[in-house]
Parts: sequence; structure tokens; C-alpha cells
Amino acid sequence: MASFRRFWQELVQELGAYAEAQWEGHGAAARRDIEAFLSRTRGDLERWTTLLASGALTREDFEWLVLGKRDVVELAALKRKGVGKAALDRFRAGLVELVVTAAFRAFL
Amino acid sequence: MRGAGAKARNWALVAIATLCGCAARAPFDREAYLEAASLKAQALAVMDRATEPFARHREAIEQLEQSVLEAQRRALHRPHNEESARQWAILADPERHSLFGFLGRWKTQGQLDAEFVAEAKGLVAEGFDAILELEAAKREPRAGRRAR
Repeated sequence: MASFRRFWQELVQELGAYAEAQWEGHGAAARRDIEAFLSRTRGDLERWTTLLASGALTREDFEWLVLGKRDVVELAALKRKGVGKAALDRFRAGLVELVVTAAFRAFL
Repeated sequence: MRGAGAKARNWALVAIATLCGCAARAPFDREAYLEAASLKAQALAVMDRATEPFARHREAIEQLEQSVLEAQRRALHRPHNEESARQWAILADPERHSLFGFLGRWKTQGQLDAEFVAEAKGLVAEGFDAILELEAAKREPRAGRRAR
């Protein structure tokens, strides 16, 4: 898997440069997006490149799967955003209970 | 003492009106959760057959598509449910690379290779898991922890 390691190092470098070039001024956010994508993709990419090299996957298959992984990352980002809202609601509910309890304790 | 009681009630009313009046998300919907879990199982079972000709499974595929579109419509009509609705939209978009994108590729190519099907199933399963985990996160926390 030495060749995968080299491929991975080159990919990380190229993506870093791509982020800087494409999103000037938003480099930090772009880098975060890329890091999230890479951290979720490494295991799959390792398997897919092996299948690609052996001919078990075509170029088109490989490309489709990478694009599919990007969609999975987006689905996961939507989940995180929605879970954040749910946590906010729970925080609000807890806050109400605290305020009401504190008021009753202080005034009744 | 009555004045203090009225003051406390006012406090409570103001707090509740202010903090509860704007829920950030839709409440947990058990039906939606079970529907997503069932559709995940159906989708993966249909995808398993993609190594065979599309035409042979057309009916099951169309049924699955209808059910997913129905789930998407329901998600769209629940208030404060934007993220879940957008998740369903990705799964149901034939231009994307999730469930409907896979079904479209199957239709175009007639049948697909086993390795590709296995890998694509992993991606679609991850997509459904994201939907299920978000719905599960909408559950209220268990009762029993009360502020003192």
C-alpha cells in the first residue's frame, strides 16, 4: 500500500493548493470542508483505488463513487446542523425549567 | 405574598413565551423514523438486484421511487424540518450520486458490476443512516432529570 500512501500525500497537497486558489479569503473554511471530506473518505478511497487498479472498478465507477462520497459528506453535514438545532431546543426547554423553578423558589 | 405569587407567575409566563415560542426543529416523528428505516432496507434489497437487468425489476424500482418521493414530500411539509427535507432531496435527486442516481445509472447501463453495487450500497446506507440519526436526535430527553 506504499503507492496509496504516496497517492494520499499528493492528493492532500493538491487539495490544499486547490482550496487556496479557488477560495481566496475563505481558505480556512475550504480547508475544513476538505479535511472533513478526506477524513471520511480515506478508508473508502484506499479500497476503491485497489479495485480500480485491479480492473474491478471502471474509471466511471470510481468517479461515481467519489461523487457519491461527497453527497454522503453533505448528508452528514445536514445531520450535524439538524442535531445542533435539536440540542438548542433541549437547551431552551431546560432553560425554561430552570427559570420557572428559580422564580418559584425565590418568590413563593 | 399574593403579589409575590403573581410576580412568579408573570416571570414563568414571560420565560415560556420567550423561550418556547420558537422551536428550532420539528419534534421527533416515530412514523417518519420507522418509514426511513423500512425504506433503507427496501433500497438496499433493490440495489442488490442491480447485477441483473433493470427491466426485470422495473416494478420494484418504481415502487421504491414512489415511496421515497412520498417520504420526501412528508419531510418537506413538516415545519422546522429543513435539514431532513434536504437530506431526502439528495437521496431522491437523479442527478446526484445517491439512491436515485444509482437507479438512473442502472437504468442507463442495463445492469451493473457486483463490486460497484457493493460499494454504492455502502454509500446509500450511509445516506439513510444520516437521515435516521437526525430524526432520532429530535427525541425529547428522558424524563427524570428535573432542575432543582
